[in-house]
Amino acid sequence: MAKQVTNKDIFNDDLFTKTVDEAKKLKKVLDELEKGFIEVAKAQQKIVNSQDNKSLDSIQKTKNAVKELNETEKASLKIQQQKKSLAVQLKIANSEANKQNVQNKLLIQEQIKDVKNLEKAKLKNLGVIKKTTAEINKEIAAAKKQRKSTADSANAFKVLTKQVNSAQSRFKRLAAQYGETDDRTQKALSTFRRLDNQLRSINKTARDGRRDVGRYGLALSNVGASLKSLVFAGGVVGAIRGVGRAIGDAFERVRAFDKELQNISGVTGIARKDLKSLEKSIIDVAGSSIKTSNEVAQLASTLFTLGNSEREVKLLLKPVNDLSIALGATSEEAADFLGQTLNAFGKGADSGQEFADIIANVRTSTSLDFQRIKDALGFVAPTANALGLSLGTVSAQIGVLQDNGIKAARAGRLLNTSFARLIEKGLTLDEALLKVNSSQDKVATSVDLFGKESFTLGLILADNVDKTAALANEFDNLSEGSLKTLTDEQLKSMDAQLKILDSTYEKFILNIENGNGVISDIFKGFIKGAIDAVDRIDKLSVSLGNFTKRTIGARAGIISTFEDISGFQTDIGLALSKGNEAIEKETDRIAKEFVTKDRKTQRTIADNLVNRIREDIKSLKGASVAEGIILERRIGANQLLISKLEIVNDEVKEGTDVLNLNTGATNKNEKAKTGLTGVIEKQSKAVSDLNEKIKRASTEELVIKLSLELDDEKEELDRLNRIVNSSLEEAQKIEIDLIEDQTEKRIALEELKSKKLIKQIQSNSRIEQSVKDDLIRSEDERLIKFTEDQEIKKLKSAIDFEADLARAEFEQKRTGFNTQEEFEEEKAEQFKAIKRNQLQAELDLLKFSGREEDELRVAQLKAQLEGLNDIGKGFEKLKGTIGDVVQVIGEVIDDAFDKRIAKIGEQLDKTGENIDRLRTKANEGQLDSEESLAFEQKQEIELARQQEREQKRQARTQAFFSVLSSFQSNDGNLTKTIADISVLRALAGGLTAFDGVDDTGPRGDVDSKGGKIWTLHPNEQVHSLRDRKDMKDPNTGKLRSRNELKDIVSLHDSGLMNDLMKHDGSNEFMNPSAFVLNGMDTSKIESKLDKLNQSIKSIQPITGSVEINEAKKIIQYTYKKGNRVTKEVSKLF
Amino acid sequence: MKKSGKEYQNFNCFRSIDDLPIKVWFNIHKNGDYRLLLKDIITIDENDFEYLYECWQIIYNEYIEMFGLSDEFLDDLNNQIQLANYKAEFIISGDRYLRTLIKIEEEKIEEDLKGTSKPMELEMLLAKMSKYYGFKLESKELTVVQYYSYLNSANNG
Repeated sequence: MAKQVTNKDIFNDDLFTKTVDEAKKLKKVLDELEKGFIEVAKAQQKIVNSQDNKSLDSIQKTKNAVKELNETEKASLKIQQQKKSLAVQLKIANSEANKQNVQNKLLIQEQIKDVKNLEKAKLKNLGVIKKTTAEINKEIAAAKKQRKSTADSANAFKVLTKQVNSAQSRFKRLAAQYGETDDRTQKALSTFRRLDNQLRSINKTARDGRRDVGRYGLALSNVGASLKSLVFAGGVVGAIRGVGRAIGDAFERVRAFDKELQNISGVTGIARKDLKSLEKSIIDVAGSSIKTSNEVAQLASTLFTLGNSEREVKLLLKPVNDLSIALGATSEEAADFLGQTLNAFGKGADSGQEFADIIANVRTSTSLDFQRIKDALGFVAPTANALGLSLGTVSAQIGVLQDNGIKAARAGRLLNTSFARLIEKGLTLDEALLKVNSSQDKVATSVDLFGKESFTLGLILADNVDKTAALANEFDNLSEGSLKTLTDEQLKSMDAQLKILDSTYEKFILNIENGNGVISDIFKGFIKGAIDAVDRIDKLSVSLGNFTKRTIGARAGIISTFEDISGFQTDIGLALSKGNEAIEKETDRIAKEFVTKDRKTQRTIADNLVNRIREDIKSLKGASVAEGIILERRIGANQLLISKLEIVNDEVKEGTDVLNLNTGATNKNEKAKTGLTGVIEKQSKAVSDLNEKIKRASTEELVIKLSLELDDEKEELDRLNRIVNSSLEEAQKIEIDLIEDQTEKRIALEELKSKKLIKQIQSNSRIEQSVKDDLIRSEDERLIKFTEDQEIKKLKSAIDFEADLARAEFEQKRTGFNTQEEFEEEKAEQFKAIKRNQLQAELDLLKFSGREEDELRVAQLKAQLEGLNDIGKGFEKLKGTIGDVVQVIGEVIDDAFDKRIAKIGEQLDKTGENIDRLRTKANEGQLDSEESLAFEQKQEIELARQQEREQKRQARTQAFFSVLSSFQSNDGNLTKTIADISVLRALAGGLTAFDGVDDTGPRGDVDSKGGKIWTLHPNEQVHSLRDRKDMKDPNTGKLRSRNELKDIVSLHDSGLMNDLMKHDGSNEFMNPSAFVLNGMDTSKIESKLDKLNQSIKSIQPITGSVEINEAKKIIQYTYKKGNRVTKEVSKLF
Repeated sequence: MKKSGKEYQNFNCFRSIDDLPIKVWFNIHKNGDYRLLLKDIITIDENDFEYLYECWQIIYNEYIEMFGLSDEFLDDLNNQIQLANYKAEFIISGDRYLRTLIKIEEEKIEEDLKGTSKPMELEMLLAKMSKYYGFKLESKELTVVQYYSYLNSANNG
């Protein structure tokens, strides 16, 4: 036999221990390394700060230490990363649960197949009660099977019959194989005859013709007598019971179906017998869907009540039923919706399938779901019909609007008002959209045609005419089969398949019998007979005292369960003998009382009820026939009760969920309200601002964009206004209750799972007892730990919630402060105290629990508390440190730039002196200085540019540090703020100011004219584009740069070339053609130019200047070649 | 075997910026080969190499003493020192906010280093300076003192 593979074959026993040990060792090594790094850092820092940097040796030492620190920092970061990763691994490896998970996993996998489907269904939808019900059903099935097996084994007649059959088979097989004369065959024949004679003898006595093969007449003539014999031999009750159980479910379905048809008969006035055709339709529709026939029958009832004729109901049954499945709506909702839509568009039931197909297509082609489609069409359908629009077209419009951010309900409402407007104006929608599209002012046209509230819709639809048309065509003409496709998709799920199975079964039952036939009557007779018989036996048994004490106790189980635990009276015991109706009534009453009990009592009741059923099932196995009847009836009654408890529980839960949802939302909103005081005012302002912006907006794109924003902001404002009404106390209670309930639920579920697992371990024959014991023990431990975890988690949640609440309460009570600063100061103190209390409470909790695994957290909490106690001072210190740093950095940079700028200024002064000197010479006719003058002027410009660049850079840096400083003063969360360097960078970029600019670049988005935000300084001058155009270069048509303008002004003001030339950027110095263009005498110019050129040849040109930057090892060399001035920046070494 | 102090005094090498040709100054900066300080081609050992390095230190310190370090250089060095201090503080204390200051400092240094191009050849520089002064400057003849004096003179206009 193959050896079973266990986890021990796969994992070494000490796997985790080794891993944890190794990890711990590694952590120690990393700690040591980290300490080493700290030592290195200290030493190198000392070196860095001790050097005077006045000699090569000193500089090199500094640079080496800097390099060393860079390397150490990198290594340190890496170590920190590794430590972090190791801590996570260690935690995982250290987890007891993890160890045990490996142990249990294989075992669970072995068992999981058996319970998988059941588990899925249960876990998904049902609570504790539902789970236990499923278990009970399984146990009932097992008990029945066992009983049948026991009964069969105990039935000697059956055994004999079986032996005869077996002997006969053996004889036939041997005869065929070896021949009839073979000894083995003869021996088998002898055995068969012996057994057969024995059986015949019994049958003869009992007048049973089964073995009288060939004597059919005799057999048939004795049928009545045999049955009578069976009945009167005391088996009557058992026979009835068996049949009754078998048909119970079927009868129930027949009964409900019949009831619904009776109802239809009543509503329509059509005789029950004349509804056969409808019955068939109902059964056919239900048989191929997840809806049961009874549900479809109810749908038919609804359709009748909506005023449809029988024919229309038959036509609508399938599309409505499919629509409800496809859209996940109830049959009633789907019937209402389809009916209303058909009516709105003036269509009859004949169009039901077509409309249902279109709606299904809309569902799959757009983001609209059933509710949205319903909401939107509910508004717009009637007026759309008046405009001659089809369902497909309207749906397409709603879909397009929804895709463009207009919510469906709003789209429907606004379309409705717009359509009404268009009707008044005598326009179709197409005409209106055409007008919008062809308008010069689309917004105004749209406002005129669609109204102020709806003009955005008009613009969107006008912009999407083609898309809407394509969608409308698809909806109107290509929807056939969409519903089926969508429905099929819905039916693919497992749950749906099971439901289909159920309704198929029901169809089978109903096809046999529809509640009004012979079989039904027979069934009813059987049931009645069975109940009567039970009653008789019950009374007889009680009076004779023949029942065992246990059975009597079991019979009274329900009574004691409820009376003992819940304290309320029940007559269910009495009801047991009064038949199904009484049981129904009584269980209804108990279920109603059940929901009034607290959750703990409810759970106890449910547990006891389940235990009672289990005991009854156990009793059933060894019970006599009479006892069995009682037990089964009681089990049935208790099961019925449980199912009702489930229903009422679900109903209450749904109600509670809604309540929780509402109160939860309110609670959140309360927090939001208290935490962000004034948010509503801000929101109102945002709405108001947007309205203003819309008024000012001049392009339709902007209007649409703003309108959509306005919608969102309005909704948010509504939401905020709605949430301000609930008190903190209410919210607190609900929140705490919710946490407790959830914890209880989780623990209960885990207990149940654990019990099941232990049961599976115990029943697994492949596991040795010692292993079983170990597994069970570890499972018990795991459960205890889980429960502890949950309890601690619950208490921790409560602590956190208390803290949140305390903060919110403080925010709410913001009166008594003279200034905002006062409030903020007090808030900081209060919040600190709350945080301290919160941490302390958690610390106390964890200390109280005393668990090993919480040690790390306890240490963390202690550290946090210590830190928090000093946070005020520490924070001030930190704030001061950073503030100083920021200040110093800013000053250092400012100094550096100031020095550079000062140097440039010096050069400018020198150049300026040269220029003055040369100008004088030039004026005196010494034109040979002109070239020098030109060069100097050029240099002046270059230097000025350089100065500008430096100033610009300085301004940028100042902006950056001013942002940083402002963040520094934000003591709300300084460290975090500073940590976000990208934010700072972005802000620094955004807040940059410039000392003038040549061109403001491409469009911005501040206003419709492409405006952008700039920072201006005092006494600056701004030229408009028109101004610039007035000053443009007449030759090239290009706008002049500031430097060109400054050159021109400078040359003009110097008077040197006032009438001689104009500046031309294309030549950087002078352009002879400009003289002609200015209408000047070229001969004079030529003469002057000749003189100028001669003087140029005669002078030794100044070649330029060299500037050295030691820090960057750069040499900057500015030189002139002809009229061209070039600047080169190179590395020095 | 290490030579005696007297022996090294007789070592034929450059010991001052007064006689060190600018070409050698540039080449040592470029290659880090202190043997270039030798006036004769001889084989040297490790001790000799150390002695040459000492000479280089003397020369460099002389240069610093005479021409000084520029503000830009000192600013850059101070930035590097500041950065190193932040890094050291971070390693020692583990305070995360220092990461931000480190980042700011790194950005600043990086920004300062932008805009540099390929180093210009000495001969090219001298050609330009020659043009400026109107007479030829030879890289082999021009000493470090002369070179920087000319340069500063041109620079200061």
